[in-house]
Amino acid sequence: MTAHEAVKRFVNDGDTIYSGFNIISFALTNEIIRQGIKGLKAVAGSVTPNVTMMSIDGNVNRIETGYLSGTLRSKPFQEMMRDGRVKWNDYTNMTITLRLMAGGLGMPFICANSFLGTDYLLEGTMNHTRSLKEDRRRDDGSIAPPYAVIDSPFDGKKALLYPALKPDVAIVHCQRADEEGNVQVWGPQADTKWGLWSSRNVIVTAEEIVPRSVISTEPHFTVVPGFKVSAVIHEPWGSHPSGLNGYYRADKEWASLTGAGMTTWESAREYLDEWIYGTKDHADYIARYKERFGEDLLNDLKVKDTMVPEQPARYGWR
Amino acid sequence: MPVNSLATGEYTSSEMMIIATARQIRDGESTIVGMGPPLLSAALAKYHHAPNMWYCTESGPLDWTPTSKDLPAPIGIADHSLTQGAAMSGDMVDALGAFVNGGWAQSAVLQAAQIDRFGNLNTMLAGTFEDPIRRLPGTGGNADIGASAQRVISTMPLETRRFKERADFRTTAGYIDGPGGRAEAGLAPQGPNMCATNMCLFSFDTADGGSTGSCEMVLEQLFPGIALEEVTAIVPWDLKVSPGLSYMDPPTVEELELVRHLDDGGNHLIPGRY
Repeated sequence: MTAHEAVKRFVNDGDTIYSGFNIISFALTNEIIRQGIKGLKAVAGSVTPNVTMMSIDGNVNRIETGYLSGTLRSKPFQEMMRDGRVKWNDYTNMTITLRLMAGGLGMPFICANSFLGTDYLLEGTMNHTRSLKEDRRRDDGSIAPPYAVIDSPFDGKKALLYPALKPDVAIVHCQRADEEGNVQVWGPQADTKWGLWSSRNVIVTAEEIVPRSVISTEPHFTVVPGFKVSAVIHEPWGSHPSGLNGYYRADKEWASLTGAGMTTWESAREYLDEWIYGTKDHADYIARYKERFGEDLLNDLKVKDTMVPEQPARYGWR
Repeated sequence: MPVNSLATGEYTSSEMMIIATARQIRDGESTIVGMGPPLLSAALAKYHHAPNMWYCTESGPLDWTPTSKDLPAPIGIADHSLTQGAAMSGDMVDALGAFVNGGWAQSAVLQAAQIDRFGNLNTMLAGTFEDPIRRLPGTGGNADIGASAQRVISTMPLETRRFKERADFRTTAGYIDGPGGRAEAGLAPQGPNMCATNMCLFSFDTADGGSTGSCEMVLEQLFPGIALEEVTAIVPWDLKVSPGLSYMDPPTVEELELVRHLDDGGNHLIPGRY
């Protein structure tokens, strides 16, 4: 399956999407923008600059997260947060990750003490005029609370409950996967595992597609098994301009080379037109990037000094 | 004063802030390190006086142990280099969930945009939600860490927009409204908390992590060349001053060289930022 086909099939207007904290699929981000999907809600422990990119033409207009990483350098994004074109609720890295975990475990809610003693507990924090209050409307018309403070029935102590998150679709990049969709990830994994387990559909782009035998000699790197994955697509440089642990570093020159990224409406428009709408897929985007700025730029980002296991894990059974 | 100390003018106030923060980190303790300058301060501590400190960040890597002296301080909390020499490469449930929320983080190093009289931190916004003067990225793991770390070392420059009687938004619980605040909120005791700025070091007036004492910020040490009045002029409430107020030792040659080396190309000490 191609990224085009996977997004066409599994991402719909208005969906809630999980887009990861630190292994970002720009290949899928760009495809969502190209296909003009509208009104997505992005959830992640921290949302990253790919969400800023998806907000420019309204692909994403709602956000539930603990951290807006890089987004505030974007004047368009700030403007849309002010006038309500982007709506959001603030949680934390841990509470969002645990909410995804609850979703993945099939639990209705999860407990964590992060908001205790803070202004997250003030009415205006979760129900401000540009909040996601409407998204919490239940079938009977009432609004579900964004969290609940209870006295624990077990020890009587104060406890905070957070509702489970169950995104419609997860988009993520990974180091490697096999054709069955067994996904392997390493390095700081942040919210990845529970983002994938909690989402109804999972679309994965992989830097490398490897045989099952590679997966099964190191099964401890698998974050979700293939049956949980709706589509797996081979996309070299699938995280560019962000990095991929062990493969390539983040491209710090990208923003200045391509015209300042999402910082102004003008530069965002030019970027989207040339680098996303103007390319047919991620391979085309990478080819254009190489053609415009030279092969060396990308080659220099490649990690050369990779670690080799001193004593690989031993599995055995007889 | 150590014999190899530097004179004022040989280092910047931002460098002193990084060094003062690093000096609060103890060898052997398990530490959760937040975004920004804490990454540099904790790296300095690790290379300088706390080689056995467990340098952990919220995205999952636990016990960053640089295998070469040349490795600079991590730039972000998910920096690819954080798995260098690491004991574990986990995820947020491991790091913020089991390690921090589980109560195993002996110290935390956190930056914030604002701090208030009782050590509550703000990383959310200046102004209000309905009328923000400036929207900030949000808490990340700051709130999660403040709720559960055994001790918090916060750091930010001493400026009137940052030091508030009450933070514009309390993202992260310190001692909340004073003695008993943490217990009433349902949180465990915490301390001794510290706040290192570019001019001085603050402690908090509570001996038992928030039940007794005023729980207010206390001026503990002035940095070389800084007068008491310069600090009290910036802090907007009637600041408590330690009866044992002293001057902090200036950076040593080793500390300063390490900070400059570790801040590879000015990733953290961006001129004009702090």
